[in-house]
Amino acid sequence: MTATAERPPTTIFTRPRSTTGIWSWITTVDHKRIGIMYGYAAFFFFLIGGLEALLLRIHLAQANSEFLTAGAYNALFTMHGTKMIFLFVMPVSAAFINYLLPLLIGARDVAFPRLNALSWWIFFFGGVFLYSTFLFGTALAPVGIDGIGGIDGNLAPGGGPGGWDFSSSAPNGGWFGYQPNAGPLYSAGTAMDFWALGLQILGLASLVSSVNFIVTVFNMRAKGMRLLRMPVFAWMATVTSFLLLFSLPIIAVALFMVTFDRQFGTLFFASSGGGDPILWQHLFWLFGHPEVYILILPAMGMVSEILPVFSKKPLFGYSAVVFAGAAIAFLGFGVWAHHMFASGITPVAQAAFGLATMTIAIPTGIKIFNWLGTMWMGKIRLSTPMLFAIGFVGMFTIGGLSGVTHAVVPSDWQQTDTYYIVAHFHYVLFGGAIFGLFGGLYYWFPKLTGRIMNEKLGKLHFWLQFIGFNLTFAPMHWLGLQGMVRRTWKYAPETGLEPWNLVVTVGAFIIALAVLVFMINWYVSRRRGEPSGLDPWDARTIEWTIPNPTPEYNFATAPVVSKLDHFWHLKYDEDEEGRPVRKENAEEVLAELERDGLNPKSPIHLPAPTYFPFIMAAGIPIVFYGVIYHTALWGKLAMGLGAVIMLAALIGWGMEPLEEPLEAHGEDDADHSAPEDGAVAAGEVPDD
Amino acid sequence: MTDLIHEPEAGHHEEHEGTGIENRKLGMWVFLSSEFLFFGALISNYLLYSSRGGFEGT
Repeated sequence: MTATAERPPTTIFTRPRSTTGIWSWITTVDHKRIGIMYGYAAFFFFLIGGLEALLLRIHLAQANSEFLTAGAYNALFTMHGTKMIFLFVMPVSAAFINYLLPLLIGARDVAFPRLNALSWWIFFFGGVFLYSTFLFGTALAPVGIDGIGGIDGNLAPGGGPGGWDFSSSAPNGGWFGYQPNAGPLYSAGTAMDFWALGLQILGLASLVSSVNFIVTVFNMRAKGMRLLRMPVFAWMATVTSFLLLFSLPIIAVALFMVTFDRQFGTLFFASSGGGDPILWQHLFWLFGHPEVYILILPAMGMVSEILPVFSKKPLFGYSAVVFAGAAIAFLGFGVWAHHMFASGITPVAQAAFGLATMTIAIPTGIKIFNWLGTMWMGKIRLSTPMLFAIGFVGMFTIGGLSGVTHAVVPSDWQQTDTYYIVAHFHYVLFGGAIFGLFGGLYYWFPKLTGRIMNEKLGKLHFWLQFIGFNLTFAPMHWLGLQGMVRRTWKYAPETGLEPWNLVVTVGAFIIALAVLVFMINWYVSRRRGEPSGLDPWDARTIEWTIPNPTPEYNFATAPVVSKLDHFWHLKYDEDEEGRPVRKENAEEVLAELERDGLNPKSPIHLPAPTYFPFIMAAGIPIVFYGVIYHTALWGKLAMGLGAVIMLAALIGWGMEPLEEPLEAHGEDDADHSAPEDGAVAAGEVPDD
Repeated sequence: MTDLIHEPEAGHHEEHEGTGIENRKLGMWVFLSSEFLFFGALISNYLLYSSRGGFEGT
């Protein structure tokens, strides 16, 4: 094999061997298992974030409500936003990309399986760290101002007894962390430090995986899988990875600056010391706007996979869809100041950013029309994934159009910080991203389990969610235009906003019901769903050429791709008028694929499991706890301890041979997936 | 240099479409492109704002 194979196996610990049970999950480097863990963790956070939203909606259903204290209200909307973005939509996209990207491009694993495990464990510990604010964090009253804020006196003079109160421990400066509100003066205590450092860790996880995915796509594609033969989801995963790669360093810098302001007395954002609060807004949105495309592009990719399959037509304008995605990403870096039209930036900047924002509507429009073109004259099957995909197209279009209204500066001045904005981004992120993600879950569920999710429950889920979603977020448009202020804790009954707010709350509970239906469906279908066989949806792309559930080794033989929609062309010919005609031997082809996929001709090397990514990731939050409590001795010790743990893991990782000693290793290299020794640390044969 | 030795003998250089750059090298370049932005932003912000006063000792 390689030079490294001859190296004697020097390990600090013996290599983990378990293939079942908790240790097999902790030490796994299998991209599918990592994807599954990402998915479940993300869904867990989705439930918590949804619960927070429900509490907010119960509170806002009435004028002058006393259900939540003002401090708790602030904490809840902060945690809801932070969680849904960083702990739900991003990781659930990462789950899909992890699970599917190697399958879509015909690889046996990602380029760096151990880095992939590291990314997941960093995410996990980042989430735990952020959540530990509920145990350890403090949100104190602003310095020098009595009677406002957390512990000392609730901002809520009317915060009645028995009201929910997280205000003493949870971050409450908003998911955007605007300065100086989230700075040391107005958000004293440690809660916002937990927030800033928690996001820092989560960003690190995304950075690691973005590097991994980019190298995977550029170096690990199956033979014949040229860039423009990749499925659109693989393309959007690539584009998303580039967005992460270039936007995360910016938020990392901004969060470091906040941490330094809060912990070490710098004055980056304090105007009293020559700093500039607006600097934060620039840095945050220079990250934050690409971030919204990070959230939506994977969902767009999924929809671009689902629509052609259920319309029985190729994707209309494949390359246009791909390049529109890239164009959205590119333009996404030049529009950030449209979040800041009300912050006093110059008219020239307003005009420039307004125009740039409108420009983004062009590639977005290209995508929407291509999706419509895909469905046009197609043989549409309204299965659950298709319903969600169509729901995505419709809801995303509404959200996109209301987004364009923000590009018009005078109009935006009227909308800034009203519920109109809330309506807009929920149409894009919920109606868009989450509908797309649910569509993807229904569509690729057979790859996980070998079963199909129950169609009746699936359709019930879709319709409940569709109705609940529109009841919740459509009225927010008119609430906003009537002047209901965003993040308002209370509104007076005279404003007349109460009836629509009640409708919104009812809608939110219908969404909750829909998610409950989904959970039941998931639980039931996992074990008792209808077996899917190889190709339940008459699909087009090569991840369906392998058996369901996906074997541990993905492809029994390395696939060779000759066309876009390769799998489709194995099954279908065209007649003279370009209509698809199923080949006579299609069923035989499927049976053969299934048989071959389950019985690899020779033993397959898989990346060997390892402890070190887990250990290294565990060191990071310990360092960051140390940073928060750096004035105390134990804080300094914690920083040292975390650093030692990470260093030890680094050494162990480096010393661990890339491959296990190759015992039963012979001439079976022909289908070994890793061209580089550093790529897939091969070694274990599956029956070992 | 390992892959120069390794590819002809293992005989699966035909198996992947790729850039021809070794995974680890490509990964490091990709990562550096991100670090470039990180340190660019950090240092330029420091230089810009440290001269405004407010930092002790500058």
